[in-house]
Amino acid sequence: MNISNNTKKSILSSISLVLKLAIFICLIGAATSSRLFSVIRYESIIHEFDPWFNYRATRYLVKNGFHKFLNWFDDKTWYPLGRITGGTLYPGLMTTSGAVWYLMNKIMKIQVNIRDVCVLFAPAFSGITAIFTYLFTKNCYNDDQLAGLLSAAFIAIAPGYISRSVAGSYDNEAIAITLLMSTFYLWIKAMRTGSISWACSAAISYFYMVSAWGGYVFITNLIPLHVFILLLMGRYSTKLYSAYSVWYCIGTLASMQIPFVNFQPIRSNDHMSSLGVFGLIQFFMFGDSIKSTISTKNFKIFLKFAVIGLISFGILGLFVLTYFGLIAPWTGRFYSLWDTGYAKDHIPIIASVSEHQPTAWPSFFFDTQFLIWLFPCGVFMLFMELQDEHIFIIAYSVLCSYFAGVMVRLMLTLTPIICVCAAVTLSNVFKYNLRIWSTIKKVKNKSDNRFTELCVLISKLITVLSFLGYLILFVQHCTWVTSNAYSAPSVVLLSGSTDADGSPIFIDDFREAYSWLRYNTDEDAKVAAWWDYGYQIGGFADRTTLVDNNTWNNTHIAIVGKAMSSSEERSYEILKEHDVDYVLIIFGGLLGFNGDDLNKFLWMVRIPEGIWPDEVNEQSFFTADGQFRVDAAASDTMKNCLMYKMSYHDFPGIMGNPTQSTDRVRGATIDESHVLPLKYFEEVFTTENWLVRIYKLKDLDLEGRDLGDVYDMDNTQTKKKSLKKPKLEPRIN
Amino acid sequence: MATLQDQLYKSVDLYKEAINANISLKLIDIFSLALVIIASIQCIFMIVIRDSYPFNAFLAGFIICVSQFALNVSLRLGLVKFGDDNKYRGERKLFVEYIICSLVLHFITLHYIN
Repeated sequence: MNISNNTKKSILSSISLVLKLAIFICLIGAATSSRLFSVIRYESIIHEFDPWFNYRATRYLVKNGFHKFLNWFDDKTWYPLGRITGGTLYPGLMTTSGAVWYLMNKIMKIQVNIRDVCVLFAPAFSGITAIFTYLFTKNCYNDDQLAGLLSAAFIAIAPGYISRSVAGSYDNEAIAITLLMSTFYLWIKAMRTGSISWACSAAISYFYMVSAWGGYVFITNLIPLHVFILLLMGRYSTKLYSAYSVWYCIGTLASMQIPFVNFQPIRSNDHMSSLGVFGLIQFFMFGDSIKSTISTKNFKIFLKFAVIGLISFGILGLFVLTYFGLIAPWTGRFYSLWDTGYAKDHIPIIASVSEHQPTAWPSFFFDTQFLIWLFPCGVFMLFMELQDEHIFIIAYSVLCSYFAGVMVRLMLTLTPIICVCAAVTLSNVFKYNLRIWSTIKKVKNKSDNRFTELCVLISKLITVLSFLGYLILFVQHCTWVTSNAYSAPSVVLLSGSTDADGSPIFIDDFREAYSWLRYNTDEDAKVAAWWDYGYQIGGFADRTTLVDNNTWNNTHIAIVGKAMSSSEERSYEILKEHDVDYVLIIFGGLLGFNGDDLNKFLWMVRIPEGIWPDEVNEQSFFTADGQFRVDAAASDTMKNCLMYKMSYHDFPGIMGNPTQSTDRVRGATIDESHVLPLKYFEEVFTTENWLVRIYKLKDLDLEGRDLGDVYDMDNTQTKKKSLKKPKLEPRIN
Repeated sequence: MATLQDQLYKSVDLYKEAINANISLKLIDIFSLALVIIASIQCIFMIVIRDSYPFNAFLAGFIICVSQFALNVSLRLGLVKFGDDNKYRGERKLFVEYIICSLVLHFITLHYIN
């Protein structure tokens, strides 16, 4: 009997192992394949803006090796300043994909293009994220495997995470979420076991995270917060001490190896909380070790004085050091997290990024569907038990819910914890309600309270079935959102209509323009464009840019903004001073493309206005009643500015009516008489759908005349000439 | 508050007993004390010469003292905690972990100190 029981157990455990393995393989398959929509629908291409820089950096790394990469000074961006790229980026992403490429090509001898490695990088890592989420949830929630598996399944397909990790979205976040989960998992493990080797691996994982994403500051503050709450609740233990102090020491030292982070962990205010908690826990350790020999009453007095003294000393020290400039004050991005209006007033460059806008409420549902209402239930359930590791999840969810409300892009960090909490809820629901067989048996037994048992059975069935329905809807919603909202590369657009044979029509204007630049301009030509397109010009066209998406120099961006918003004459001066050869603008008026330069134009006014308030004035671009108009009612400043002239140059007259055209984005009628002629610039290239227009700065006049005068003179002369021109007719003598 | 003082004295006595009973505890404590002294010497030196250049070298030197101290304390807490049952295995595991972490720490520090 005993033996058969044992064999039964071993068979069951091996079956569960096989099943788990199968589930994981399925999960990885689902996570990867649902991110491949973009590759199937478009092609294997890098998406959007930032990924283009990462891709370019990776190519540089693969070509020149790691040491040159770390010392990379990029003279093709931020002309004429250049950028110390090696020291101002997070190298984790590029190094990892470079390593993968090296492993495949040089060691395994499989010929893989570095572009394909970069494109498929995010889907591959999402599978690993699922595994770490499983481990995290399992360790956080009473070793509950069901919750672990559910959370892994959720994170694998949740749109909130997919939005940043579809194939081709080769961005830091692609790897960072994986590392976030792994660091948290290792931290929970370290905290529960008190083993310093787990703490050490958590620190190493933290180091990897620091090397990959600026969001590591979140971990730097969340883990100390967790420890701090535990200390305040009087849950100090030697395990906590070992885990935290080892993690903090090794993690801090390791994080300072990254050139971009450098001395920040001891100099910037963002990192001070972890230092403070480190000091506090040392004190708790000391107090705990003498606690056993002192009477409790005296110990309490001792504790009170010491804690109050220590905290006030810490806060005072922080203020004094900040005042004397030894610690850098909080950064603007930090302030903008607490005060949503702060960025708009003080740092327009941060506010101008759409990712930094507050989240609209529907997007919570859009990104997580039914998980969003299971999320608070999960937090509540954790509150009911409130073990040490549950507090971590609670702290994480409270902090992140707030941050996700402030900034759209932080939905990404909220999604994992939503998945975890929802999985906790669902696992509890299923655990109780899936015990149907026992209820059926009870019903069969013909016991006295048969009717109640029947009711229980029915209610259980209803619950299970409705939740199964929700799960199916969730999968459908995820697939739909991924395929419709998050799989567009934004470099190639889908026109929506189809060809005669049913194949979709692509709008490929961006690549058309960039390849024109690549093949028709000098190799050292400088291109001025709004900063959004800096990375793409560098990546696609390999031309020098003035500003790009790494917005490190506000003044430089303001210069470009000023050039775009000044009168033609003035902007010619500004651009010539900066050695610019070409100006590239995005114009969506013909196609109805919303994100064009005229719609971003107010930022090109606001940013320079912050620096030269007497030269650029936002009000002068509005009509008298304060509207932003581009048609006949537009203000004179607006009509005379470079961006307006370039956007509508030759635009009236292409839609049939010889003197008028309709701007399809702004719904405005543009008349020939509104568009003043370009005197200092000449159009050199306009793409098929007019999406990208490239202008060349005319050369300085050989006789030293002003180009405006030259233009006027030429025009009057040609008119006179045409008047004088005799009518030539063939004469046959 | 006299009782508090007495109790503090008493705890010092107890501490002396404890480290005399266990040689490894004594060694760890001496090591930790040495680390504290080294760290404070570095700090005082930096204040005396009024220059922290090269800052990374100073930081590496200082932080490794603090970190090693934290590792020592963790090891010590672990050693004290173990009862008599499975003492040997637990202690050996602790020492192995301690050595691995110290090695990682020293590697990182050496890399940082240049």
